[in-house]
Amino acid sequence: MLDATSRIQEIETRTGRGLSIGAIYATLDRLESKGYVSSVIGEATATRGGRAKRHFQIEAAGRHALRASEDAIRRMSVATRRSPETA
Amino acid sequence: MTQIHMAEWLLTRLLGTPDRDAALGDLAEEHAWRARNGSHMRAALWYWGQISRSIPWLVWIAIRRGGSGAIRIVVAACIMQAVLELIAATCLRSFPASVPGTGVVAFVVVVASLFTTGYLTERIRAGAGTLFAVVVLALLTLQTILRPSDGFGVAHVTLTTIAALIAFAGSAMSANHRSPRVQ
Repeated sequence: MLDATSRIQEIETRTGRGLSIGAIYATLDRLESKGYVSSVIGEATATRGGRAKRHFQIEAAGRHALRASEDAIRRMSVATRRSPETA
Repeated sequence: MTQIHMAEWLLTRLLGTPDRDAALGDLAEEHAWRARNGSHMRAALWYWGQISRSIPWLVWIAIRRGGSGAIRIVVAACIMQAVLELIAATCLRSFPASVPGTGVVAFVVVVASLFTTGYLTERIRAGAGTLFAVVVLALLTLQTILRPSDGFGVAHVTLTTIAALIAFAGSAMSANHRSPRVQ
């Protein structure tokens, strides 16, 4: 289970580009409405100005969709490598 | 009041979106970490950059969650607002042009009705108030662009911006009443 703060650092490091926290929440909100992730409201701490943290967790449907997307990208990559002139 | 508190104060009064508090908490935590491990100036710049880039997304989340029901409510609210402004304008027109302060009265009426409509639409359905404020902002911007006779002056643009922000404030107050912040 991850929260958006650790996620923003991790995504920035992995992708090498800046992200806004609002964009992350918008994406997670869309994924949650599709049932791919779920969230729970966590603890409120003084560092957070008394604001509660929202933790997100990937669901079985999300894992399945992720695997399907990875497979599709892999198949596309293989096809592109085979015929680069038609890609 | 530090600039972080100022940003939080402004956002809680202008945005009543569902993920606002969680996002502000994340930003406060991240800002504290960056200020501890780097320069305060750079952390503050990062914070304000995040705030300005996140506002459209947070507004979008609220509008999306409002769904089609919010659109119907906002259409009705816009019609009500237009009728109210028409009535106010008709009443004010009956005064001679030489009477001072009619412009101020008109502005106060518009601002009060925008605040109330923003509050009520959000009260009826979550997200509707935010959508109403966005529509008001868009319509006022369009009016400024399409009717240059009204003037592009600083005063006109300032009053237009204030009117739109008032609609956001009404919506945010309603949302804050619905779900007060966890302390």
